[in-house]
Amino acid sequence: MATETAGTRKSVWDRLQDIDPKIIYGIMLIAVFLPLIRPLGVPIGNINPEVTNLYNYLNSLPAGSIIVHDCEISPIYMAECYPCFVAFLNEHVQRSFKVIMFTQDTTALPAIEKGITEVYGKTKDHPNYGKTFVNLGFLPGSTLGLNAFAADNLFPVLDAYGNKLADMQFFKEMADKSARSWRLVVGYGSGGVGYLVQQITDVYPNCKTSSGTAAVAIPSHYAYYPNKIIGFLGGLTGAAQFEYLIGKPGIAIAGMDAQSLASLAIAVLIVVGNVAYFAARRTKAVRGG
Amino acid sequence: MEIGETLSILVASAMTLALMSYLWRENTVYRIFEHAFIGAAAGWGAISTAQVTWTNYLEPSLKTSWLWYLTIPVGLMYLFFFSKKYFWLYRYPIALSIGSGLGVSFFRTMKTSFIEQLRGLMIIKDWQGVLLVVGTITALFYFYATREHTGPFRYVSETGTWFLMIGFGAQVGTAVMARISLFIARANFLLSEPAYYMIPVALVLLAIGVYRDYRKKLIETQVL
Amino acid sequence: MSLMFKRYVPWGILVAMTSMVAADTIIVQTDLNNMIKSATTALSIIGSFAVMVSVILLTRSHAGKIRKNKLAVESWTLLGCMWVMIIYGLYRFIFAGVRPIAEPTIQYIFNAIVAPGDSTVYALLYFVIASACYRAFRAKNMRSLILLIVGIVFIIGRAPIGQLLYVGMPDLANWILNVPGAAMVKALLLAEVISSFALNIRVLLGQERGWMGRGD
Repeated sequence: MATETAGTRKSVWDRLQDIDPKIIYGIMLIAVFLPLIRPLGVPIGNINPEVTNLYNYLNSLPAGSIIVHDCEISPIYMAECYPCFVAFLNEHVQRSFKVIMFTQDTTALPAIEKGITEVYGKTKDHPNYGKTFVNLGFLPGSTLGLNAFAADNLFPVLDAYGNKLADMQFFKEMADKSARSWRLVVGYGSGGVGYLVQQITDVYPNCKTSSGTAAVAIPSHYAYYPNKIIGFLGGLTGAAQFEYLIGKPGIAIAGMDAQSLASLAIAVLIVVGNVAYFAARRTKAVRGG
Repeated sequence: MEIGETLSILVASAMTLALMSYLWRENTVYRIFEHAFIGAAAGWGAISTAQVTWTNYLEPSLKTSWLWYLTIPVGLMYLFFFSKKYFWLYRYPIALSIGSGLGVSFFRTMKTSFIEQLRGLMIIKDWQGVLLVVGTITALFYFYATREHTGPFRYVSETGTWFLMIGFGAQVGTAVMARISLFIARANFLLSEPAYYMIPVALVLLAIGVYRDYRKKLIETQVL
Repeated sequence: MSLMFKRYVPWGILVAMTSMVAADTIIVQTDLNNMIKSATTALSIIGSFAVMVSVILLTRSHAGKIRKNKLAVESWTLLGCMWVMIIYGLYRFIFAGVRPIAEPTIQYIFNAIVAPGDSTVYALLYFVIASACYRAFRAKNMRSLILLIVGIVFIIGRAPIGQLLYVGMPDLANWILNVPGAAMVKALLLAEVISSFALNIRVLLGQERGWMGRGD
């Protein structure tokens, strides 16, 4: 067996840097699975100001206020945006708000059905369907379709189940069948809320904008918060804090321990990686010099 | 739980574990499940778009006027994408679509994302507002490419890079948080009943795969 | 004449459409608004035909692979899943009036294949990003050190554990988002708006013809 010479021998720091990625994958698997199997009980901590502002705004609205959800909750964003959606719906039920839901992404249709079933119990067969909540399903046309719907709430003609919107008590009770009657519009996904601010809030100032966004889009919200956006739920953490505020713990709070441990694991990995890098450089310099 | 629902959850669990097997290495099982997903997703997109368009828009419109029948040949012009000779006909529906997209955001983007943003910057309440304005202007100067960044201009754009780095650090942090949440949802699903019954199956298949890789490596290094 | 129909008429349609829809966003006039509303419905119908292009592209590409190698299991799987969904979904909708979202078999396939597939493909990024953070995230100079420190503050600060480690961590993360982070986002947004506005003007003036695709 060939012996390594001093010049070619890898230091422990070099080996630490060249660690097999599968070991890192294993650490990250444990960091998520362990708290889910055995919860750590990490407290939620301070509530972020954007969540508090949103909660306070919703509390200031009278019963019967119309809240509109643009549910771009495709399977990619189910993990973060679906808990936000369910938390919002639970709050709307508590406060007796009227809700309109639609999506411009066909893969998000099952998420709306699932959310309605989870919170209201039933979808179109619910006694209050068509009175306090309506699912419009897929709204094609992207920004143009949204613009048309905001101008005339009867634009989609039928809801997701084939019922005529004009025959529904929900829309008959609306004095102004446009976004002027809305009090809040909520966006989801990772596309940010710029398009909602553009098409809704700036045109109909009575309707504020909010979102249940994926965490990756949180920084982009700060271009509009707090002037244009009243508040928002940033990812799973935002949903957990909102669940805490409304007093209805759900899947978001359940995932917080795993979020904490995995975050800590990644932070430790970054620090260890950098320590190994600088120590290896120093060792090479000492050996070379 | 219905048998169909149980089977659906078991297949979903198998799909999740098969795609996760990519972490070991790319393999046939992963590729088959990946292609199944792409095909099913394309199929779902096609049928749900077709159904909504027909039920909500085309069928009610056709009852009001024969002019709506014209939307069908215009829509079918998309198929000229595949023709070499008549490809230019594909540009007609594209022009309609791009034109409408441009039109709806033309003035509103300028108002919301430009004028309102500048107006917001002019409202300075405290030292943090000053920092926000300084950061925005210096970061904007970093992207100014008409003039070389020399002399005093260099310090302005260098200050901007510091703000950009802080902002990108925030982007990295939130991107990491987002990915963690994505996997937490998958892990939650795998730990639910009856999805967890697929985990031992996956571990056995993984062990067989690892053993076969190990033997192949030994043969290649001619130990065996 | 042929260049007229191949290039100038589509360009003219684009300019006309942009003008009418842009006018609709700032002018309140019933006839114009109603016309644009009808146009929106028409465009929603026309736009949905585009999905045929993706289906045909996928079919052509994978049918080609099957022609070269009859045992291309992956391609058979893809085409099988796609066409079973389309044919069965359309059959149930046309002959039984059942929408795809309400058809149990289609829903089982969606819940068994599409939803977990979509989520898992992106969830794998968790491992990729962890590996990248360990192996590639290096503080080689002051700027990357700042990026690293802010990244770590965020990763820990926005999770509940941040407050356990240092009580001011969440407030620090929020301040970074509100001030320097917001400055960066606003700068990028302003730069993006200016450049996309310039691009839109070029498209309207006919100087940008990338949207026309290949050919004359």
